[in-house]
Amino acid sequence: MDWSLIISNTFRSGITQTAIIYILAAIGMNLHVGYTGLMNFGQVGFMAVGAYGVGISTSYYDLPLPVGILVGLGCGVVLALLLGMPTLRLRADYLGIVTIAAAEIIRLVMKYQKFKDWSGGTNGINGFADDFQAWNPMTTSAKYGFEIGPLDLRFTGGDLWEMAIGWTLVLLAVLVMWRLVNSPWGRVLKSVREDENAARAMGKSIFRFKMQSLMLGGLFGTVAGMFYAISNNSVQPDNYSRAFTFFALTVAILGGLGRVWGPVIGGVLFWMLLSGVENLLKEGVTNDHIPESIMDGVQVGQVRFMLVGLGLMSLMIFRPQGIFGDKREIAIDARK
Amino acid sequence: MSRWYLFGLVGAAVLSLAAPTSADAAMPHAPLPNGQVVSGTLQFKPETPDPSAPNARTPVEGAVVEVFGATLSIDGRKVEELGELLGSATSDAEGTFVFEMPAGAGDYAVRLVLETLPAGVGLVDATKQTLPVRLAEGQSKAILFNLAEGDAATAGVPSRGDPWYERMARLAVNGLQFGLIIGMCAIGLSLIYGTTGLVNFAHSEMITLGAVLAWMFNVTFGVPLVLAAVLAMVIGAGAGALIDRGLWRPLRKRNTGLIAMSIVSIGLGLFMQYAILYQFGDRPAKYADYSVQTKSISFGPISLSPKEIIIMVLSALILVAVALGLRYTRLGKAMRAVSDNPDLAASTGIDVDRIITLVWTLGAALVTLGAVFQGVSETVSWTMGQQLLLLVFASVTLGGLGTAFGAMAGSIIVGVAILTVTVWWPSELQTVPALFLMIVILMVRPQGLFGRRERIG
Repeated sequence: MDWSLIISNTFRSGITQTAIIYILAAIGMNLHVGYTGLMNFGQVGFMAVGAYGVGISTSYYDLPLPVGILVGLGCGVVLALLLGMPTLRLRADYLGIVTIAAAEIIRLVMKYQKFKDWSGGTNGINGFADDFQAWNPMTTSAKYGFEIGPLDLRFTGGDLWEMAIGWTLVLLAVLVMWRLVNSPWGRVLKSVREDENAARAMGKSIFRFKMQSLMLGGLFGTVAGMFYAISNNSVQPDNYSRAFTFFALTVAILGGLGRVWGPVIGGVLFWMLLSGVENLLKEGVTNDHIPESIMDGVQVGQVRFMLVGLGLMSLMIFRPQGIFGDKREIAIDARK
Repeated sequence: MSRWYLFGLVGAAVLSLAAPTSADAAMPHAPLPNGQVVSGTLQFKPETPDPSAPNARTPVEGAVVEVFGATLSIDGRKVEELGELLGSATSDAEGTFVFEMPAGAGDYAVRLVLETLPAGVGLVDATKQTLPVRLAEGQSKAILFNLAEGDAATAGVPSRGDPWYERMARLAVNGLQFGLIIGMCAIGLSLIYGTTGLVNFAHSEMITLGAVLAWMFNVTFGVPLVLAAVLAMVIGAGAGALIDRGLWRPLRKRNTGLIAMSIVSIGLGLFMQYAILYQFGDRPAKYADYSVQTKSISFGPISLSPKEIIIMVLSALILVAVALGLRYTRLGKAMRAVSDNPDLAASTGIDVDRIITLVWTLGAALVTLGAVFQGVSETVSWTMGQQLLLLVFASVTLGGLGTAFGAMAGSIIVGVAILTVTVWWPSELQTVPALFLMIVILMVRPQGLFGRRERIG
């Protein structure tokens, strides 16, 4: 067993790009599910339109990257309007069904091979964000960092640049969330979550606040998708499948719904846990501590998903407020 | 899509330290020819077999097979895109063709030129005209084109040459079959929603579980499929009851919110899906019985294989029986009463918890049978439930969430609609119109065709 590898991988997973992507997406879901009580189960759809918005506009229309990012954000707003219009006046579960379906439509259409001249088809879009690394003040391939005992904390310049931008985005998002939820606007959101009729009686337009929340939270997802696309310099349609949303939801719940810092802490812990378990199992399989008959290398990846499923269930049943949440804050919805 | 699903997420985790990646990073063409061949034998079972040798097959001479470089799906089982034509081979008197590969390991596609086949001979499955070949270094492969003579050659597959209304009629019948299958899967979801208010996102895994259980009995233990389906139904129904008793009833007792319960169902679904993948593997599989049927029965332009007719008749009968049962039996009335208003039902002496458990049991049994039908008409795979779930959602929304009759009607409409639109619309995107229809319905008549207005606000 290579303990140094296990420890390093576990620790690194909590702070590298993947965790950042999930944290950004989960911040948006926290605004939806945690603060407004909206069942958005298609956050990955917002990510996909962001990623494809920037990918398509930069590689097929030759727009500069910053303009492409604006296009991506615009796509997020449009998607929120399209999803919100038919569903936000209905019961909460309709939004869940429609968002999950819409996210799937987006993936299928983008993947469709006949459209490959404008969306890349199954190959996706590659190599559109070279500018992003060109702006990197560090040497892309050089290694920076240090080792502490078994913990290897050396990253390439390229990764460090992506992580720096990513964590800056996370901090900005947290700041925006903190300002928003402590504003009068945020208090209206919470009152919508707690009791729509009461909020309506105070003269607030429920639909408008829900729509604004859907749009803003979706924009966080869009930013997550764009960060995913730009940091990989690639958009692959099948990376934007349903399970992504469920992972992000688990991240948001783990940290605590209705808490500004919840998704950040949830994301770091989620990926450290997941990566820790995976690396342990993987090392166990390669070193024959776990017999082939029980599990092989491929199945390790599958066990991970099973654990997330179990984790999501048990969190919701035994500790719906997550680690830092307040139980009163997440007492969302009763049967109407 | 199945592998991608896993790949995408595992990839997402591993990717964090990787440089920009591209799906087609491994370029296929190595430089040297090295005796690797792609070969095969083209033959079919004659429509009227020679009685002395009933299993004899007739070879096809002079048919042309073209070999292309190709982009395959990640699992190598689907051709994503044809590349350049590398050459062609013609079958000899034994029907055998041999193509020497000009390059070594890589991804290729082999296409049968249909025009070179003798008259009346065609593919059993028109979508299998181009087959993927993934060669490792030094490897040769044999390719099998499934040919047949007469009606079986184009069974159920619309050929482009026919007038659109004939293709449409065929697709409508196929759609009816698909719709009936969706209906079997949808009733459970809708009744569960009606009685408990829960949108059960794990319903898709009940579908997969049913099909895989039947596959396990049928293929692993060698039980005939009919019996295997019955066994799977019993176990599936038991699982439904168990999940309700063990998970949902305690949650209901705790007054857990509906959003929270939906999220629990997502977790349960994720767990079940990957547990099934863990056991069953990611390869789509077929049942041992009824997977290939070359005989078919014609009704005008429509030709159906016996299994298709049996599936349609059986599922229609079952759906009618369920509808009548809900309407006229005591139990059915109790189910509808709980669905309308649980408190009022309880006050009239109905044991609501027992009814809900029965709804789960009935729903799970129907889902299992629907899944087996779907497995017989297509394949059994660990993602089949996920693929059906969105259509099931579209159907129940169209018919009206919570109503059993609405679920049936909605399913048939959705099934027929998504197959008939493929006359104009690419079949890869056949789910898109269904989901679009669902969104439109929500905008103009959110309670669905059969739902009641007060449920939705």
